Amino acid sequence: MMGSLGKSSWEKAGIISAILAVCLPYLIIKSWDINAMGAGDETAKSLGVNVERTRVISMVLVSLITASIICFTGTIGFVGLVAPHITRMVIGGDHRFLLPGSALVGALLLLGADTLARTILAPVILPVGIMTSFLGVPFFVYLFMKRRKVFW
Amino acid sequence: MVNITIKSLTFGYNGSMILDNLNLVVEDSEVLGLVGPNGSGKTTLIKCMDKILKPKGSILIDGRDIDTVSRTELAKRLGYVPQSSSTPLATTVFDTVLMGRRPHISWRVSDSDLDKVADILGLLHLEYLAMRDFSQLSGGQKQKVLIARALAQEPEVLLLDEPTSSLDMKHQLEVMETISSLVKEKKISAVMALHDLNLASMFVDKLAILKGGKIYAAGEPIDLLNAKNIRDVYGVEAVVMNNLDRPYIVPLRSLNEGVA
Repeated sequence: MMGSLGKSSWEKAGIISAILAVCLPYLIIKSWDINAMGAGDETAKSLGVNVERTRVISMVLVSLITASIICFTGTIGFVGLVAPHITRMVIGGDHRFLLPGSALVGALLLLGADTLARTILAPVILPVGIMTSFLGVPFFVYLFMKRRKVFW
Repeated sequence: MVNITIKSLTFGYNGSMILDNLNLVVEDSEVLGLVGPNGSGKTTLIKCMDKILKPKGSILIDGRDIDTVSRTELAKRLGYVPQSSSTPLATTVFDTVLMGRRPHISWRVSDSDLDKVADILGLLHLEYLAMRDFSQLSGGQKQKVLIARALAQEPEVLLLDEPTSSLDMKHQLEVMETISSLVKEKKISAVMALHDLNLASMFVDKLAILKGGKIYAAGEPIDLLNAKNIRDVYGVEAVVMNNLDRPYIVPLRSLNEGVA
């Protein structure tokens, strides 16, 4: 049900890191294309982006990254929702910085949530998903109320 | 110096024809206006020219079929300016224009790219808007920013889709003046879909009238803008007057067959 970092090992972390190291550079290199696609397919095409190919490859890589993490940790909700939004609010919508920034913020968020989950009722270890939900649900409600008209 | 030749272009959605065996030539350093009623294929033609839509038939740019030219290569030669109202952008004006450098850069933005963007903003008198959010601009400002973005591609041909729609009188003139002075200064061509025949009459070198996906007539505005053509193409009775040696059209009433 609730994912946790309790069963992690250096071996598993290594596999995830390797997959990330292969996929993330492609997405960062394609940042300009992803920026252009944010302005609509027509605009992106007119700026020379091969929209269909970029979209399919990005989706496959993103699915691969997500799946490989989930299969070792189980589902830990809200990190993927909160991290990119916080990053976007701070540094804006340029994917050249947004993609690595979101990865960093997401990692810090999970680390913080896991640390809290392990210490708050020590020696009982709470599932980390509960901690991320504490942050994520109010944030989600806030986004829903405040930023409904802004795109993404 | 560029030549675009369009040969027997045909395009349709689900059986309904939008472009029907259309032929057209765009030559050096001219402003070509595409006019015609709603649904006559103006916008579709422009999108086909920029490979946004894939039609049947061929479009040759300097003798090369655009199907054999990569998108990036094409983006260095043709700059597309969409209608401002249909463009969502959540970024600053400077970054919007910088996006136009995309065909020339891979990831890193060099100082010369930034200089070029700054120059173009200066050329269109948009410096004071550089750090504003695109979404907060007025219609006229948005249109100019989108023209600036297309210019950042350093194209030989600008393709504009109704650049004056939803603008007031002054901004319509400003945008058209901007385009025609750019064409002269930078020795580029412009192809634009237009609704306002009087704006077309004032600013275009050549006119192509579209009707039902075909070129009804092409040539100088002064030869084409007459009461007969307007009746045949638009179904509107109009008086054509002379304004500074340019035809000036005053529409009188629509001619609905079957209505007394």
